[in-house]
Amino acid sequence: MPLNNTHGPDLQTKHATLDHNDLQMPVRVSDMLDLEHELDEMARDLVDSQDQLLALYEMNRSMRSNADLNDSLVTIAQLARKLLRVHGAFVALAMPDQPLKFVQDPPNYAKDDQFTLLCDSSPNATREWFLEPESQANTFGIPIQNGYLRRFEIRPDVCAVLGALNKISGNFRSPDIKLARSIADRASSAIETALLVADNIAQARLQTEMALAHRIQAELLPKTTALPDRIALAVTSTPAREIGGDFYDMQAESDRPFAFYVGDVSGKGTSAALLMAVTRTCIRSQHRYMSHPDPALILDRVNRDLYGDFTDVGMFVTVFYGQYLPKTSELVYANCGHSPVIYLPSDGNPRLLEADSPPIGVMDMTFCSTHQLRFAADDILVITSDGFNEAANSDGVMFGIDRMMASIQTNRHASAQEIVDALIAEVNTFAHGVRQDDQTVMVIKHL
Amino acid sequence: MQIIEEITPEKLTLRLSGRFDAHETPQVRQKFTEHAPKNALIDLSGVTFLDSAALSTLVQAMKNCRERGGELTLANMPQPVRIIFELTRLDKAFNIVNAPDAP
Repeated sequence: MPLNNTHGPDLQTKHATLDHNDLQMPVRVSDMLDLEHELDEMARDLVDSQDQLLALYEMNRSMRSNADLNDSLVTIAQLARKLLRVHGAFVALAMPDQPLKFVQDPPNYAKDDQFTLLCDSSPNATREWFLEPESQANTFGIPIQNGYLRRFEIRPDVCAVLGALNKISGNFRSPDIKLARSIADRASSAIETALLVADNIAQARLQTEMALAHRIQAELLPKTTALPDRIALAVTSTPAREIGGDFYDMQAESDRPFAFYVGDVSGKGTSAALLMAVTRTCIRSQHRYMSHPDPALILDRVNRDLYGDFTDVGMFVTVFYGQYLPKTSELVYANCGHSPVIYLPSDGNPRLLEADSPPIGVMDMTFCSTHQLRFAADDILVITSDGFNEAANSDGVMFGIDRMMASIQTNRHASAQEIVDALIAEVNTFAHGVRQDDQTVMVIKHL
Repeated sequence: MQIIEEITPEKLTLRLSGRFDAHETPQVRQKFTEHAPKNALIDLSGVTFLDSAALSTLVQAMKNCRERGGELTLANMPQPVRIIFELTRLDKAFNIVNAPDAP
């Protein structure tokens, strides 16, 4: 009894427990099988999630290292196919004034039409589409079991569609859609980065080309030249942008009179610079090869040569062309629309040498004549582009020709270079250093 | 710059006012491209300034009208604008009048 008393209840309890366990065993095996199955599912999901996380990491990494737009689109399509477990994935990118970019993985999986229609960025426009076997939205040219399309905006005028076609198994479920949205978000950033890089590269290329053009243009304009006896000449030309439409040149050739000219192509920038170079070459050539290089005749020939080109581009050029004749101490010149040109005789007041013909390129003929002018000791000729007299201050008041004349008169006893420097300094002070137009000034002084 | 446009089968008339410079020239070019007029009149009475880009636009418009056998007339130039035309001798190239309703 004591034994019983001692152990009886325990044994009874144990027995009772055993009995209970024996009775519940089939149920437990079934639960365990279920649990094992669930565990397998969870393990598979975990592996899937790890794969997806790895693929997302890979996507982020490759997106960061991909600066090229096409490479970025290929990466997006490849990773979308892998992550969403579909037979084919694509990205369609619509940008203004460019053909639609369509990149898919694998290549040539589906047709690439109709996507511009989906790229509607209005607020109420559909953002996502689910495709079914009979879906009317199927314009891919292949059988579609299922598909998911997601539209996303990169910029207000740049839109893309991410597409996933034909799941390898099953249908698109909620996690797939969440994942597709996440891929679209990352794709949006990656495409924006690639576009910014492309913009920066284009900008850098343009700046390099402009710097090169600036250098070439500066090289075209002579710094020094052999001058006739007792003639001093100073000249400077500063474009408002990297390159400009102003030009000047001097030509000293043994069998020709010393020639000098200043021109101003209407407008600024690249087209003006190109026409400036053509006009300068044309004048040089006429001066060098014409049997009697008469100023008015030279400008008329140049006009005949270039009228068609100037008409095609809708521009014109003003030119003042002069020659110094040492034997007679004279200047001979012709002026097609150029202003201001200021003549300051040693014994008189400054006066404008006005044009007598419209600029080159306006009409198919010029009206200019060759004029003669005394050019002896202490006489001064100043030719500038309109960037000087039209330089305006903050009140919109222009520097004007009268102030130019006053400056030249004040400095009439200074050197040619000092007259140039003084004029530039006065205009800069007046316009508070703001240069609105190309500025060219040539000063010729008889010593 | 403000542009008032009148168009009839015979003529395009533009009345310009304000600053006529490189920023405004595309609008004027557009009017000439759109209507491709044989004859045109541009009233410049309200123009306070015009630059070389504006002059180029007017020259181009004049050439286009003449190619079609017509003419571009510039009317009512204020003194500062007239001075620019005189200095560049573009006054010799254009038909310039002082009556706003000139043909």
